Amino acid sequence: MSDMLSAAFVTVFIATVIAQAMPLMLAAVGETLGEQAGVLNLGIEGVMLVGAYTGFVVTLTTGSFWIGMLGGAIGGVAANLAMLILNVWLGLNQIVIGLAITLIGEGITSVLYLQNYTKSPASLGQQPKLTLPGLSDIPVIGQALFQQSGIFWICILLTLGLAFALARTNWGLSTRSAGQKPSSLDAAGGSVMRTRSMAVLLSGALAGLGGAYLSLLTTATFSPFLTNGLGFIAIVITMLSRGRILVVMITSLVYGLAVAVGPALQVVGFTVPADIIKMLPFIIVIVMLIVFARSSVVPPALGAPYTRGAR
Amino acid sequence: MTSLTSGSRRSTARRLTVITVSGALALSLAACSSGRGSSDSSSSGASSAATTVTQFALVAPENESDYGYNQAGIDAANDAAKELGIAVTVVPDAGYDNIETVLTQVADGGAQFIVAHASGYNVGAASTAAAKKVPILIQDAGADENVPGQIAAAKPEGQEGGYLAGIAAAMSTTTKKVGIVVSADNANWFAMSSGFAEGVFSVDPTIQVLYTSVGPAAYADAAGGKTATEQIIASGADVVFGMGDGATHGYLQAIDAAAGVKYIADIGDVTPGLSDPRKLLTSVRWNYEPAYVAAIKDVDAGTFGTKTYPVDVENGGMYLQKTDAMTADITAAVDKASQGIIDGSIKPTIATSAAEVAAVIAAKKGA
Repeated sequence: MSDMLSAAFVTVFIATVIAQAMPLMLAAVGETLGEQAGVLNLGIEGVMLVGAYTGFVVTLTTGSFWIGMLGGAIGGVAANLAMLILNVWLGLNQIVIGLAITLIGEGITSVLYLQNYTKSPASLGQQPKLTLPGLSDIPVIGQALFQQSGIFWICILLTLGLAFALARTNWGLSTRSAGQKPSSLDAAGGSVMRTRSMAVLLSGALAGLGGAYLSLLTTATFSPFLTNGLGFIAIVITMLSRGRILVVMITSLVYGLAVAVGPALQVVGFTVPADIIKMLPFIIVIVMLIVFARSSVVPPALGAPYTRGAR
Repeated sequence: MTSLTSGSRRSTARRLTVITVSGALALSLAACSSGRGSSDSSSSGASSAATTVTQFALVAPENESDYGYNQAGIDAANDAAKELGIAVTVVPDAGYDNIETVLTQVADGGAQFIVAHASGYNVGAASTAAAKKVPILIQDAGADENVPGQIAAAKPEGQEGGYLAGIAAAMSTTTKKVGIVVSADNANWFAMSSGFAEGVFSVDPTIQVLYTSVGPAAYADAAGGKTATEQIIASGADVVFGMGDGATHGYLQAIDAAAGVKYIADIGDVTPGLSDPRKLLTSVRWNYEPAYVAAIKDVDAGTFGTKTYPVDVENGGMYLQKTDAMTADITAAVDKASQGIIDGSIKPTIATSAAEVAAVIAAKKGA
């Protein structure tokens, strides 16, 4: 067993944790923005799939991972337009719309993939790595952490920027007000509609980015139902994180660790039933729910459409 | 937007929107269901026990893009139809839900013989065969499930193909480490894995065999497949034997990204999925055509349901794909082992669980 735990193995293990955590983190950050503004988006699974597929197609067409990620974000925004129009603007039920978006996203991406790529499957290859001078030379950790693609760093910076903006800026205050007490935001001269609209669009872009990260960088290809429930896990993580994006980041890493550890244990010699490996990430999420459920606080106006003057 | 937030216009807008969304959802679901494949059935009526088959059908849970099990079944059905000069209706992407309904519809569509191409279909197939009096070929069942005129099974002998692949892997590795990646707990893959390990040890018992399975989504887990393969490569394996359906996409991405690593596929041809086809050492190909042809001939003769149809080395149903990486030495060794399997001097172990595979690896059986 000990001879298996080589530097190369540990490096790949850490890189795997990150690769599995990043799509979830981006989607959960998007969901956090939406929920903080009072919009519960159960359609995030479908939005991620749309982002994954559009990112995949755009990258195949243009040959650029950067444009592919942009395509994924735009795909996510497009998919979330349904939530924007039907819920934020027209006040329809968020749960029903969210589930519809999930079903439509799963159906459309599967059909399009099967129509276009069944006979001639395509893969994307590898995104060039960005080597950080000095840091990349640190044994084990350097290669795993500091030889990531440029997209990884942009996503990290974007997440940290949003964490700051949500906690420390007027925009963040307005967003949280729209979820806490939208009538107060309205009374203070803010626009609940505009605030929620912006949050939903940003949420779609981030979920789309998460999907695109999954298809372009984590997997380097697309297959139907690629997300495999990642969107729903993002919703759970969002609930547990109580609007704190840094907690979202840490929790996503725990999920990545849970996914990576199963195959790794087997490689080093433990006989672990495949069923346990399949369950492990979900067991950890459930345990986290049990442990932290009491401290989970959702915005009071979450899920409630806002109608000016309504009681 | 203000005008939409008040009065009857808002109610009208809601109704219109609900109708539009409902329509879109219905269209989407209809589009999904159309993925179950085309049906070119034109005749009707079920066959009797000894009817000459002029049209048969294959129902598969996924489609041929898996480079594996579904591809093998669909290709074999088309080949068998060509060989026998009869019509075939292929129904891919049938999934696993409501399979009895799907099989009944296929039978009602005129199929005189049906291949239910998944072991998960076996229960539904038995019911359909009894109800519609259509002979159905099921998968991976024992002879005790045969029902004369109604049900018989195709039975891949995966351990035989795995053994041959193990020989090819052992003769190709330079690091003396080879890996096995499976996407789920599957009887065929356990058998192939134990056969593979024994094939490796028959060449060189000092070679280390690593074994792992992929993540949460099992068969379809492309991301997990890539992760598991990367880890096994990082452990030093330079030949990887991968078994999986959708997860194969992930295996191939990891192989593509790694330098100096050869891949052994299973069941189908994965060459189109690799950017560098030279990375494919070989594939344990499963050819169901001999089984399908034999079954159809038995339906014609009225003897269907009295025996199991093997997919093995002896009838050409299990063989290694020829590639440039299969050198003359490897090919000769594989041919010799094939003869040993056919004459019974080599009998690879049939593992039925991950623990049994681990036991074969730990004991270095076959050395």
